[in-house]
Amino acid sequence: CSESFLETDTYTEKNEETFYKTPEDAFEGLIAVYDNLQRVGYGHFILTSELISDNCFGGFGKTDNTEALEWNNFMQTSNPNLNGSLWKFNYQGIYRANVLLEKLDQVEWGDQQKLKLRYEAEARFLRAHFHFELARVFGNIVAVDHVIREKEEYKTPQSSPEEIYALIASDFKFAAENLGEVANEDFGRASKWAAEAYLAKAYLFYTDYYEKPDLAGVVSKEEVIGYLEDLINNSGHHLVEDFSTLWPAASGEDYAGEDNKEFIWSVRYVNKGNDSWDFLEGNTWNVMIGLRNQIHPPYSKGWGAAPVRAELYRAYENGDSRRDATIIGFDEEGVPFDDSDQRQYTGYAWKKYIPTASSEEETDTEADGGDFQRDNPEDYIVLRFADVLLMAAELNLEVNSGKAQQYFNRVRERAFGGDPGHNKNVTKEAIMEERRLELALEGHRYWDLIRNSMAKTKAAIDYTEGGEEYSTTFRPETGGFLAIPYNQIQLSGGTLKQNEGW
Amino acid sequence: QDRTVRGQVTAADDGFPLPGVSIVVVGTTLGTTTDFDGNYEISVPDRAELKFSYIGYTAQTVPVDNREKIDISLEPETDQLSEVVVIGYGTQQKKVSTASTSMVKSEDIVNTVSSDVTQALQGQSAGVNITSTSGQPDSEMKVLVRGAGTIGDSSPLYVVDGVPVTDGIGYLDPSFIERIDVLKDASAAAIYGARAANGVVLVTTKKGKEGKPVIALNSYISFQDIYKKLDLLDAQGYAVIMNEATVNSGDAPFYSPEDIRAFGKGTDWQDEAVNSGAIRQNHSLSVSGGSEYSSYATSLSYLGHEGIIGSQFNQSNFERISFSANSEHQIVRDRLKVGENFTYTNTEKNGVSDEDIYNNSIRSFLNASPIFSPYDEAGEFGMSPWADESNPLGNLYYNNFNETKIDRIVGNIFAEITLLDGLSFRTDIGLDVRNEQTRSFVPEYYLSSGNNNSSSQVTQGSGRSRRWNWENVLRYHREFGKHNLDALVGTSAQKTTYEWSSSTGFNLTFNDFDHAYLSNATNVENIVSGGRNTDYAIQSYFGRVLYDYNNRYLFTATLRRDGSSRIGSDNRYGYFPSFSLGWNISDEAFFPKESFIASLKLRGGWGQNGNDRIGDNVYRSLISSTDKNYYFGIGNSLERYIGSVADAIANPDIKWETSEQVDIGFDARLLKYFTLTFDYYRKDTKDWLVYIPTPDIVGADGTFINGGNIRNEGFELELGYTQHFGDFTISASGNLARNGNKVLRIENDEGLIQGSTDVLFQGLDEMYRVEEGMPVGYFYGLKTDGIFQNEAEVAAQEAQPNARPGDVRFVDLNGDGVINAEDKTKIGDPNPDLTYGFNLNLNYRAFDLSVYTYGVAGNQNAFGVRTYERFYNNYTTDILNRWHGEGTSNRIPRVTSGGDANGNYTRFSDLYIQNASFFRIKTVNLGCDLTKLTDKLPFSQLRLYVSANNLFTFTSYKGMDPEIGFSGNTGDPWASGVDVGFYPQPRTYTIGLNLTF
Repeated sequence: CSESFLETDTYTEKNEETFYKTPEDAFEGLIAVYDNLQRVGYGHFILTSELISDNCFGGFGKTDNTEALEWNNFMQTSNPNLNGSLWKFNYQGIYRANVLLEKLDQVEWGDQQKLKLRYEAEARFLRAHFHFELARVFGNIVAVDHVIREKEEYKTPQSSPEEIYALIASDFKFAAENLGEVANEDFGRASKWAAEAYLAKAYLFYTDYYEKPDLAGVVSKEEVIGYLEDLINNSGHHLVEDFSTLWPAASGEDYAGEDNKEFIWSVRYVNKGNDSWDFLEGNTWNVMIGLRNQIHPPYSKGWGAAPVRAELYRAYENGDSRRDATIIGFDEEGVPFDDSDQRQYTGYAWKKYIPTASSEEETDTEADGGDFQRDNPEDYIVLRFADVLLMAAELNLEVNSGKAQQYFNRVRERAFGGDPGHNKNVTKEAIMEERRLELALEGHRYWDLIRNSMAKTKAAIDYTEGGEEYSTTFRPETGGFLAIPYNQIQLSGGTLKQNEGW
Repeated sequence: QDRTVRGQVTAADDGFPLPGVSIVVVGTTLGTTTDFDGNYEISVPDRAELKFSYIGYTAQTVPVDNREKIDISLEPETDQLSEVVVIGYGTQQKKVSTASTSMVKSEDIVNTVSSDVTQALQGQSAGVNITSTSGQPDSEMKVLVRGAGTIGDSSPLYVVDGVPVTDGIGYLDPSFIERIDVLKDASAAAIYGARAANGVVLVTTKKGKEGKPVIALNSYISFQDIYKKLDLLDAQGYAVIMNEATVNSGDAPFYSPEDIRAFGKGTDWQDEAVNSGAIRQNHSLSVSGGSEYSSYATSLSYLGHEGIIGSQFNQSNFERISFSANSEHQIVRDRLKVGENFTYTNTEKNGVSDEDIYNNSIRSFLNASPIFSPYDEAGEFGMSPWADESNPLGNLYYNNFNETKIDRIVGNIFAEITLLDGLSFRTDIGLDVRNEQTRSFVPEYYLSSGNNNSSSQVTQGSGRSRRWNWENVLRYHREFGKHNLDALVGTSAQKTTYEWSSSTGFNLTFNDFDHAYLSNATNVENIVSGGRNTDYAIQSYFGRVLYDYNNRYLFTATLRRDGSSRIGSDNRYGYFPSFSLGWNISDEAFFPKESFIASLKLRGGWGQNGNDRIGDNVYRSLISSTDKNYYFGIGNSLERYIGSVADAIANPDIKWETSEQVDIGFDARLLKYFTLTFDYYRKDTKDWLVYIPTPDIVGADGTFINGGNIRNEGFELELGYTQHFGDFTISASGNLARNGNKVLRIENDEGLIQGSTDVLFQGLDEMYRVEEGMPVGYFYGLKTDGIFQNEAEVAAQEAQPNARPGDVRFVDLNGDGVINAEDKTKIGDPNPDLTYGFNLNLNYRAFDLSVYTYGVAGNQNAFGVRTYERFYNNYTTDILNRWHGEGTSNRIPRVTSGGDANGNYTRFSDLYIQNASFFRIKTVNLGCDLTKLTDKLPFSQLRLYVSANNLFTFTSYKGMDPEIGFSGNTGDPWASGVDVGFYPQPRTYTIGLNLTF
């Protein structure tokens, strides 16, 4: 026998030596990075953010495990890897982005150098997105700007906040400078505008939380304001007229669609998963906040996670159209909700993001041929124009208060059907309250709280009414960050240090 | 010129006549057998030679020499050392063998009345630990030769008539097996090189013998039942406990006293799920015989095996039909021999799931609350009062529509040519082809809010593996005076190709299994399918020298060079040497004759073997496009784009594991009747193929590295005894093995490999791991220190802030004032220290009695049948001993409904650990051979027997069955002893018939 007898083919997979040759290969590599946005269901960034905020309790069914209660109450008793999937899949996304970035040079681009630049910018945008989620939730993370191949590097220590945010800022900045518009057929891809909005978001969190003068030496306040001005004036993005049309369950026939001009960038979910765990294309986290095992059209079923606190519902003024588009009030709407298996029942549930149903018998997802747990089509809206306006208002407070007031008013007037009668004087506090109301249940509130102060966070989150079942205590000694998965600390041989307070 | 010869055959040791002795005229098919009184009569040509043979006695060949009466006295074969051992690429006289092997013969396989050959081996050879993974028909056994040598696939290599086979030897009909030899030490197994690190099991099927045709019919029918039920609470006991649980959690009791009285005993779901009297039957017919030039053996067998759980719904059944044909022909006398061995097997089976916590029909009926009826008045599956609890019978029914159909041919054709005196060449081409078709179906059904299916689905799959091997061996076998030399060199090439495809379709036009085919799926857009093809090739050169001087000083050396396609090109070839020495010290002049020790051989050896079972292509970095899609666009422009990336970072330096083993032992015969074999061994598996989970910051899946060492060290003892007392023969054998298993090194910083989470129930932390200095898969959890008896005890500590009286007190091992993962430690070991078996055969005239037993000691199981996240799940009656007030229990905590703030059960602790030592009477078989009672019958054997399998199990283990090879989670093949509720082995009563003529 000759030596070739032992050479076997890999019939169904390409291998790394032969791949990354053509621009098409590079595009497949880029899609793999985007795909990572869909990985997390239970434990998703938005769910976790709302569970730990003052918007929601833990919820789920009465006999379910206690993990949601632990999130809600800043505990970690039953599962030492409570935040494991968030940690894991964000780093998986970073890995996929880094692989592509390293391989771009070996692709034969020919006259398509522009394409190369676009893929590079998109990969860096996504890498920054993954890092920024990690940096907010865990604080002390490892910033990874290359593919870790050598075992020695498995024990890389945590990076300083400056290093982390410098990488995030330079990635977003590169994207802002090298990306352009996104055509309709590319809807879902990162644009220049998304990168600009994200720069502002990272700027605000970093400079507030860490009390720094600029974004890790990469982007100054002036530059951030410039990016937002560019976005507000040149992107074509704007507020839709009626707040409620942004949300499927609240708007019904009037739904503005996922591609409405207010949404700057969303994680795509579609009902094309073929009812299979192997082809996850659907939203697998919003089933968690569905009504506990019951359908009351247009609201569909799920597991009853994160019941909304009554205080949030009551925080909206009369006439604020956002209340009834954001929250389901069971009694207020006359929904015959059976709370016998609802843990921490409050009478309120999410209306933004809730899966929908047109009949009592079947969820819309099932009617469309999918599975109600894994094929829900509701996108996760990461960046929205109202958020941008409020960020711009905040950044302009001390720079150009007129502009600040104007941006602030645009959001508020839209909430009240264009009625300027509810306008108020713009202050940091007013903006924070407005962000709470405008962006409720979209995963922003908690980060707005902790970047302001631990004392304010504790005052907002602690809850003592309603007995032991609802008791919630924020622990400022954590700095607001969550616990790093215990098994990862073990795997690092102790190089990763657990966050304070955990 | 023919003449008639008469005579009587007797036993040399006691002088009694031997009935049924085979007498053949050498070189012809003429033959007869002795009658009940040992007499015979045969017509023979002049100058004929007669060969007298009888099982258990040494055969004799005598020339007729014009005699008319020839009486023969046969010597019993008590000398084990005169036997032959099968050593791979040949056989050897046991006396001159330096190998450590164990042999199980045909009778001991058949007498255990097992439908699976591997099961029949259980308890029969020292150091071979065989554990049931499920009591379901045709389920695999977990086989470990000298302990777990790797955390990968640690099963031995199976070789049937020289053909290496995959997927075990369950396809064979046990009655068609002549013998099974297990090569345990490295010097014996080294001839199989890169695949032999976990031992080699050599199966020899039955061959024809010279003489008239022998027709044999073996038939039995068995009736099976569950042998032990879990002691679960009845409805009233359940209601009382539920009330206590809700009161303890601060709510009002669920049930009023009137409710409880009305419940009565409720439903025992175990009774509902078990099909008492499930039938197993096996019928096999064989014809064998031969002449001077040719021999043949052909058989046909049928096995029908109903499972004890689910077969009433037709969901747990196994059928096996097999044909075998072996023959051998002298084409040119003493020069050229050609032959073949073939087995075709056709199997069909369906089974109920008992895999893990998610997909486990057994677990669901051990957890179901006893307070609702199996069926409602309309005959539908009854509904539980708990909204998300489903009827476990319904679950058993709806979730187990599946079938697997396999056609398999294993065979080889060989030619052996004698070139010169002592020099021969053999070429052997083998084939193992397996075609498999699977089909499964989930109907539309509704059992509960969490267990229902709204669109029917069917999956059809097919797979085909083809393995061929071609071996060429040149052998030189010669005696030079007192020097005996047996040397061989050979080459071997082998290639396996596996193709597979599977598709799933939805929304069938029919809602039943009979019509569940892909063509009936209406949701064509959503048909999910996949298919793949893998190759695996091995190329080898090997040589072996067997030498002895005067049968007294023995030497063996082996070298094999293997190349495997599973290894990257830099490390593709490996060398596997071995040496061993033996000394028949009892042959020495100085050895006292007529001593207590009749014969004694000392032997010792060293060798290396490999294990290349790491899967195909793991050394490569494969780009995968599986589940990496993303959608861009909106409305009409919405389009799916395919993503691709390597899931894992490649390790091109990967190479096989090497096991290095030292073995020292002796074979002895004591007095006339005892044989004793002892082995001490130390087996170090180095360069373990370890799947290293990379830290998540790497972002890629883990990879295989050669990163660990494990040591298995122990001894084995096999004792045999046979003696004839007139008509009464007693034969007994016992074996005992002690193995210590210790991980020496794991090449990552923490020196450990973490086990899976969520093994016993969702949300459970890691419960077993592999760690330096510890046995593989040891149980890792918290130690407990009793129960908090009162508020004062609770208040006196701070480590458990959520504790209440009645909760478990965990040991704060590191004393840091907090109970957390840092306090976990070794709380049990699923690996037995001792494995043993004891077998007894008694024979008195026509009657025989066999008893087979086996046992293990020194191991623990994790008993995790109850799913704690559903507080309404039923309990075993152990819960009656719970804490319910100061002083009531210091072991079992209070019951609660809902959250478990103190983590009494949601933390893995020694509360889950139970001693799993057991001793099992595997088979008792009582038979009577009617031909020995009367000589009126035209048969050489007509044996009727009754037998019982799994008659008694002595154990303190509280689960249904202490024998759990099951790992609880297929992601950790090295884990064992995890009881999440699994299909128990049945107790079986059999009546059977062995007919030979």
